Parts: sequence; structure tokens; C-alpha cells
Amino acid sequence: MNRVDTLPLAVPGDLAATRRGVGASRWSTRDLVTIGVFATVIKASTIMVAYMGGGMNPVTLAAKNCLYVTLMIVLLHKVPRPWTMTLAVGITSLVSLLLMGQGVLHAPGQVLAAFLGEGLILWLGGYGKTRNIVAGVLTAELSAKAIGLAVSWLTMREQPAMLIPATIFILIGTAGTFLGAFAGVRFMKELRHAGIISD
Amino acid sequence: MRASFLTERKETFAAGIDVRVKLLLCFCGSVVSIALSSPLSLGFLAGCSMLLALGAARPLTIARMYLFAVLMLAFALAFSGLISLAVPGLMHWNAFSLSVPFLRILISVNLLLMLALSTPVQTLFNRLQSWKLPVWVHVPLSVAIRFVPSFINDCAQIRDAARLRPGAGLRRFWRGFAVPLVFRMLYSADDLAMAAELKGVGSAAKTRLSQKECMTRRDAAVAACTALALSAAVLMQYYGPQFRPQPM
Repeated sequence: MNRVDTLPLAVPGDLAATRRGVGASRWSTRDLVTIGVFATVIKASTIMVAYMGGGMNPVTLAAKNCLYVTLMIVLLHKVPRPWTMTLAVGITSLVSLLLMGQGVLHAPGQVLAAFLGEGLILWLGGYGKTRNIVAGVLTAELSAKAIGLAVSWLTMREQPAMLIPATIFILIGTAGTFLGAFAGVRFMKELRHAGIISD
Repeated sequence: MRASFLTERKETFAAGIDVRVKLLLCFCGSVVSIALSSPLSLGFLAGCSMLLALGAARPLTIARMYLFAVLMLAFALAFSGLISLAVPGLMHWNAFSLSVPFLRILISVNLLLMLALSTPVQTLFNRLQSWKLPVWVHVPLSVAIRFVPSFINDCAQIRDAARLRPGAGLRRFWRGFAVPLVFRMLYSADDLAMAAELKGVGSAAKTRLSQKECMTRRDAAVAACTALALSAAVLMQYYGPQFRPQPM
């Protein structure tokens, strides 16, 4: 079979890249645009939910984590390749910094957590299986919370009592994280059923 | 992708501002709004940023966004009221306690509208590319900034469609809103990617700016006004009437 016949649907940019022999190792525009779209939606939706909660609201905190994990699982199925999660987290932090002036303190911890999650996915066998992706996203999310709590302990270790409510809220938020993993798997079933994402 | 976004930015005041100035405005506005805490300073900045947003979008669009922001504020007040009733030691309800976060969100929304509705994605992309940023940074970043209005429009369309569906509760939310919204996001991403690829984004050939873009008098005036407004806001914070932090 001709080599070009074996290629998936490709537009001129992709085809040119593949002919140069760099298509497999470089990001395609499609992947980058999808990551940008998901980074926007993750940021916008989590900020809206967090703001609607009016501060220390356990329900919206769990809902925010649920949304984040769900969308990240969908993104990793759509763009199943290393560094997707790290790039999405990095772009989300950049958007936060540019438009909302925040994220400078949290970004390094989140990128490190995403790195750990990606490492686990690769160790488990790659992005081909849903369970690997779910495990990686859960690891990244739980690591981000642990790193955040560790940074809080560093800054508030003289008043450890202040860390107790923060820890309780983080634990409640973790329930939302697991709910998000469940919702993400349900979403994948819907998307596969609709033929949007292939097995 | 809605074609009306292409026509909305034509012949507006903000469309004539250089994208570098707009990005700088967004960055400075967001950093200063986080640094400041006085409702007076933030209110002043929210007013200034509203003028910029009005220079990019129709007043009806701005009014809708504000209505949505007020709705979010009402939800936030209701939730904080419930929490203060349930756990009085954790939070004391105060109607003004959320005014500062609300003003911060308002400033961000105004600047985001100004940037997203008045900047063609190609211009934004070319500018980010000319700063020698790697392709894996400037493509998602320009998409992230430009996708916000499309996403808001998608949400409104799917909400309207969900109203036509029978049923109620969580099932209706899942089948009528959540799943179609993710479908729509993925289709929008594919549309955007196809358009970008056909324009040669991400290919080996570097996109060159059609002409060397210099700063105009309008850019200089906007930058000067921004510097003045930010200075005034900082002065108001330290020398204006002092407001006690409202307990949460």
C-alpha cells in the first residue's frame, strides 16, 4: 500500500510534516489547538464554579475538582501522547497569569504534579488504556494537592492550627476528584458511542 | 465557529490598538488587581476597564456579561450565607465581603473581552510567533485567549437546546447540557485546528508579518492613560479612604 494511503486524514500542514519525517515526534497543530481549547475551558469553568461557591464552600470545591479531572481525562483521550497534561497545566497557568494575575505560586507545583502523573501513565504502559489515563490524572491531582499543602505548611508552620481547616477542605475536594474520575470514564463511553473518540 | 465574531471587532476603538499594548494592558491590569485590595481602587479600575471593553464589544454583550457576573455574585452570597448559618465559626456572612473578589473578576472579564473580541486570532498568533516563543506555547496560548467568546456562545446555544428537551434533574443536565457541551468543544477544537492548518500554522514555513507594525498615537495614548489609571488606583489604595477588610 502506498505510504500516503496509510496516513489518517491529513491536511497539507500535517502531510508536509510527515513527509519531512518529523510528524511523529513534533506536536501537530490539531493537538496544540485541542490543548489550548481544553486549557481555556478548564480555567474558565473552574474559576466560575469556585467564585460561585463564595469562598470556602466544600460543595463547589468538590465540583471544581470534579470538572478539572473530567476534562483532563477527556483531553488525554483526545491527545494521547506524553507531555499533553503538563502542557495543558502550563498553558492554564499562563492564561491565569496573563488574564487573572494569579498562578505564579501554584504553577510550579502543578507542573511538577502533572509530570508525576505523566510518568505514572508511561510506567503503566502508555495512553492506550483508560485505566492508565485515569490513574495518571488522579496521581497528578492528588500530588498537586499534597504539594500545595506542603507549601502551606512551609509558610504557616508557626501556626499549625490554621492548616487543619485547609486539610479538611482538601480532603473534601479529593472526593470531587474521585467523582471526576468516574464522570470522565462515563464521558469516554459517551464519546466512543458517538464515534468522536476511537478505541 | 461563529462568523459574527469576525464582524464584531471591525471598526471598534479597541481593534485599532496594537496587540502588544493590549497584552500589556491585560497583564498589568490583572497583576495590579490582585495586588490591590481597596474597593475604591478596584472600582476605579473596573470602570476604566469597562470603557476599554465598551470600545471592543456592543453594550448589549457587555450588559449580558455583567448580568452573568451579578448572578454569580448572588450565588456566592447565597452559598456563603448558608455556610455561615451551618458553621458560624468558619464564616461570618457579610453582604460586602465579596465585593473585592467581584471587582477583581470584573476587571479580568473586561480586559479579556477587550482582548478577545477586538483581536483577530491571526494577529495575536503572528505577534506571539514574532516573539520567538516555541510553537507549543504560542499556538495553545493564542487559541486559549481567542476561544473564550466561542465557548460562551456554545454554552448559550446548548443551554437553549437543553430547555427544549423533556425531563428534569441530573439526567437532563447530563444528557442535555454536559455531554453536548463536551461534544461541541471537541468539534470546535477540530474546526479551529482545520482552519489553523489550512493557514499553514505549525508548518515549517514561518509566517511573516505583512508589514512592520509600528506603534501609533492611539497606542501611545492608551498606554499613557493605562499608566495614569494604574498609578491613580495605587494612590487611592494608600492615600484614599481606608476600608477595613470585611470578615469572611
